[in-house]
Amino acid sequence: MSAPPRKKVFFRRRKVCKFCADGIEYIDYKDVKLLQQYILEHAKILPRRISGTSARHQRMLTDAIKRARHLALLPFVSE
Amino acid sequence: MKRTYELALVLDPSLSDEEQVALVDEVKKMVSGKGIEVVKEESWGKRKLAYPVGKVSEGRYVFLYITAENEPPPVSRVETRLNQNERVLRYLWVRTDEDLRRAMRKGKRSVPAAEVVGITGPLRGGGGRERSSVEEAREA
Repeated sequence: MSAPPRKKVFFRRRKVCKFCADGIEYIDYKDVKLLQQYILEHAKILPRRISGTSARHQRMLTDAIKRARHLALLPFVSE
Repeated sequence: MKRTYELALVLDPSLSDEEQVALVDEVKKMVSGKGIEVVKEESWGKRKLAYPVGKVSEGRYVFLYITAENEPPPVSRVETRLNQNERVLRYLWVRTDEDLRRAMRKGKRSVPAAEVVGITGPLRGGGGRERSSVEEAREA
């Protein structure tokens, strides 16, 4: 007799917003090191579905990234 | 109410240090006026650009921190002048007071950019929420 089919159970780690956890309320467009963590290798902005960033903080983050891009601190695209 | 601004400048890398100082001084003069003051200047020196602008791949980064007491700074007048100047590769005006005040009120971390322009707030020290007196009493 074969083992009864069991439903696979996935445990997904609960994603938390780094900015909420750290109590950061201002994301500076000059903080290139921080912003770089939130862009993908093609220089796209990391979606919050991946990073777990809260909606408020994602908004602040995209504004900061776009400002940094204008100043050529971050790339618009990279191959 | 005091407003605060930042003006970011990306300048031609072929400028000498002296030329950079002269150009930044010129911009500061354009910005300043009655009640409007450049309270801090931050220079990053030459830095590689994330993408080429025109024909150059480096830029001299300068940031001006500005406070304005009553009237707003002459943003559009300065912008016209900056557009005309080909030694200015990029610039960015940002009004920061609202965001900084909120950040200092609600955040747990100090914001360096806020201290520069004299915005302080009741920062909740350290991480985690504050313990209520009830909790403390219970533990005792």
